[in-house]
Amino acid sequence: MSQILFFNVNGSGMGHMNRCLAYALRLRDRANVSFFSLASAVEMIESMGFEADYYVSHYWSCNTSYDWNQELAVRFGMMLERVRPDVVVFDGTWPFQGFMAACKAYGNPAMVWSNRGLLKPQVKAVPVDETAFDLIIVPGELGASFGEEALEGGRKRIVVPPVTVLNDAELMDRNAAREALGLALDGHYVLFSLGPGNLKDVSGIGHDLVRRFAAAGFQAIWARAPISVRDAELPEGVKSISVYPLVRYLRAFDTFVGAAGYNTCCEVVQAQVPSLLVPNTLLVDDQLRRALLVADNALAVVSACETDAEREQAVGQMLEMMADSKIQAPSMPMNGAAMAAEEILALAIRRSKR
Amino acid sequence: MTLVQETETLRARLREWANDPEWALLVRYELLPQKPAPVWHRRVSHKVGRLLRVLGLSRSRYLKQPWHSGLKHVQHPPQARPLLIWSEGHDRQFVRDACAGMQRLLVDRPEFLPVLVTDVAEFAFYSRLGWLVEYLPELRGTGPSYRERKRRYLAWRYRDALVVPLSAGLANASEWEQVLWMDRA
Repeated sequence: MSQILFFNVNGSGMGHMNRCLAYALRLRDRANVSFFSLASAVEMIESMGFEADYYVSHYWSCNTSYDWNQELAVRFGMMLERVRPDVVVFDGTWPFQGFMAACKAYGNPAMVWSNRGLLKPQVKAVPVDETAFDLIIVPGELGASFGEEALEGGRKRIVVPPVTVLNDAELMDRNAAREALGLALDGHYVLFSLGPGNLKDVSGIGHDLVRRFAAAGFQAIWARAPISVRDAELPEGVKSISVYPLVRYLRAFDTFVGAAGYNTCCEVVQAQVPSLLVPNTLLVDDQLRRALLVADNALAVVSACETDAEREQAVGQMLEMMADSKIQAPSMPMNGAAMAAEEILALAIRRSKR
Repeated sequence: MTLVQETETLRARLREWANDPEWALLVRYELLPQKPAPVWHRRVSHKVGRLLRVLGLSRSRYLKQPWHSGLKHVQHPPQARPLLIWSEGHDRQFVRDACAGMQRLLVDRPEFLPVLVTDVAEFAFYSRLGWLVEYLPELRGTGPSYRERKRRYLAWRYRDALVVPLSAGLANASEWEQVLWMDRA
């Protein structure tokens, strides 16, 4: 069987890890898959049946970029020599110098770069030689369909439809999810998942929205992110949950409040849960644009929720929308993970035959 | 075995590993300059230095390579010394209890930068401790055991740290003081 090694970076949330898991789950039983993770949620990877090692993220480490990369090269080199992958899949916006150096020193396995787009226009282009990668996967935003572009030297770039961790059939229905989470079948629930709060303190916005939804008769449930470095203090009566992947349980909730990261946006559309999306503007990806794409395709309100007036308006719009609308199943393809996995596997098979 | 004996045994083992690093690994994965130096004598100097390291005639570059154990979201004094908390072969509950105990013991010890070395994946819990975590998984594959190799590497990487077993987190105040000061007597 082919050996595939995923390298996921640690962003503001767990998006890079989720995307690698989405590919890996579609490769299960057809390849030996392992992870080198900069996201600390290693137990989530292991709980899905994959082996993993962890290395502290450059976002967290006090080391200089050079020292961190030097150490990364040694650590990743050790893993390469153990796993001996046919293919290494990097998911992140910037392939690190230490990563590239380790792959080169090990002996150039086939390389894949999963590089989510939709960066803000002002973000500088990444000075990385794309020719080092045999395959570039662009996980598409909502509405994207499969596309392929041949590159020099037999390489290629593909765009795939949105990548989700689970297939539609793996999501629990409303009642099953409520039973699994210990929620009343006849309750009204709003789920808050505003991110780990490591880069942006979301507790203030969250508390006020909790109060407003409570006034409308909704019990708030707060999703605690496994990679949070501190727990947000919750208002009295708010129950917290920590489950993974969250999308499996999303249909338990009447409505959802969350940041507009790639995975969240794909998942609220997949689960068909009316959502209030609060874009995090501190990141390199254009969360506002992505949230507006969701609003074009599903029941969603987009608001910065920075001021009292914005929050009042956003909650009002949510309640109105939920009362007036019938939820429509999304008609767009969400099977990007399976398509990307097939391409990765085909590359691994070609490489192992060499 | 008493905590003091356990600590002595652990320190001796880590010292032994740290004194016998896998130099070939460090040489192989050395981060080489991405661009050649602008002047010829620097280019020659780089090539000669690299050749000496490949031949095993110079190790100073690796010995001088710094590694900071701090995390950006945790306050610590600039001169804080790494405290290597070694944990292997324990169950999850023991690890949680001992980490919580260690956190209490370290409240008045800002001079230490905790680094947890563990074979138990409880990262959601560790993330909230504010410590650097080094994971020791076993991975399927070929060649020498990954865990064994990484264990030895970490012993070398943290060779200047003060080492304590995780069980020290369950020690009383006098045992804790003894463990901290035992090598300095």
